[in-house]
Amino acid sequence: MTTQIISKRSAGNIIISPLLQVPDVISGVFTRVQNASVGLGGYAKITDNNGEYVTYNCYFSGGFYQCRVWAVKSTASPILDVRINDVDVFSSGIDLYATANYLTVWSQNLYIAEGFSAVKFIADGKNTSSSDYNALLCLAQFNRRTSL
Amino acid sequence: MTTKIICKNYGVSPRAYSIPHHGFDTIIQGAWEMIMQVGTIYNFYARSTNHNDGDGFSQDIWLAGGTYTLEIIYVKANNAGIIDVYVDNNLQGSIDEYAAATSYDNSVQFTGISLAAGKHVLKFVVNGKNASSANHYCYLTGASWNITSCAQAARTSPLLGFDCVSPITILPFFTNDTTVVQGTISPLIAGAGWPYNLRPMQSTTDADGDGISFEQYLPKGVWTARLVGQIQANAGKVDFAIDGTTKGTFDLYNATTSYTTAREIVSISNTKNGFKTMTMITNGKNASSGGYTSEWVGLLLKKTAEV
Repeated sequence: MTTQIISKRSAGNIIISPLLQVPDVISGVFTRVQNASVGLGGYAKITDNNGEYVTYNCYFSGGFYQCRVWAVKSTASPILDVRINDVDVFSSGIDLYATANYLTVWSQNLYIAEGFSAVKFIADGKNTSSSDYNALLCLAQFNRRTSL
Repeated sequence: MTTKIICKNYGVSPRAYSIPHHGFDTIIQGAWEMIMQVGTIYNFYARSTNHNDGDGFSQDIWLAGGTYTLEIIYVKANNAGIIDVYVDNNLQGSIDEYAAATSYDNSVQFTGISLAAGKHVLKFVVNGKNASSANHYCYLTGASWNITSCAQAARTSPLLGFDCVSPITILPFFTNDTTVVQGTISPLIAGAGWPYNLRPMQSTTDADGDGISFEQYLPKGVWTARLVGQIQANAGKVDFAIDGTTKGTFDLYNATTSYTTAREIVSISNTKNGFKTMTMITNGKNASSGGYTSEWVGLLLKKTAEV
């Protein structure tokens, strides 16, 4: 007799904290900046020019997730795309242009397959009012969801 | 008869956390404390109080099986020592924390750490110092475990370890489905002087019964919940409940205000993997307290044993 017990239970959330983690891939810049006016005590500057990106290779349990991005807005910041295996998480990107402020945004629930996925943060254009492509990332978190 | 147990849950990676928030599970030597430093990464770090050679501590970590890169964030200073970093008593390397000028954003990576699923011990021990250093202090901010390959062998081993990725950091503004049970919750803004440099999950009404609920996946096991925020003379008691069952109470009262004293609830037994509704609700106060203020910033759940 052969008994197979197959469990597909999933684990919890993934935190990508640039303050604690150097990206696996840096196409342009990666600079940690300490700033008492910003939650977590700072952020990482992850792009300087259009098209630049950083990538974190993450291991996901297969299932549905919601992505929350926390970034600093500025008058010199781009539209930031978050991509999982080169698929956009936010359909219109995240416009980081504004006078100094925070931005936190939740994604729709998305399915991420079991295994390694590349989570890319890339400067993808900018608001016409923005003067530059400086993306300032505080934290990104993928929270495991029960269902769609 | 052949019995094959396959568990397709290897946990998730990376797993990043604050070292002082996790706390000091085993003291090797000396005393260790949480230090607030405005404007630094996460606003706080761990420090060796007695700053003697040989001071050390360890933390228990639960990980999925695989090969990992361990990244440590640390402080450099002119009075810091050299820190040996061990995983399961295997020396990974040393960190010379000396520098003439203090800096807070230093990192080092240790690669190719092969781990079976389950419990592991991350240990830091002061081992000498740079000739230029004035002392043997140790300063540690954060750790991140980043899996680079998943152990196939681990996938087919018994259940131990597959649902045991720990610690879990919960910042209230980043939880799923945060719901205000009672009171008014402050917005997400910086909080200089607070752990994580975040304003606390603070009820502006400061009333008994104020609190929030949120959703969190929790693997089975025995867990410790460790809370950081502000303890003070007008604070209440906060009940921590999972799926409606109170697991313990954080008494946030202290005669003097402190941001560097964590409160813990230990021996939280969770017998089933799954999504849990967790609540943090003010329930009464210490007899000496002048109010029901509840100001906490982060909750860290760390596994301590299997169930």
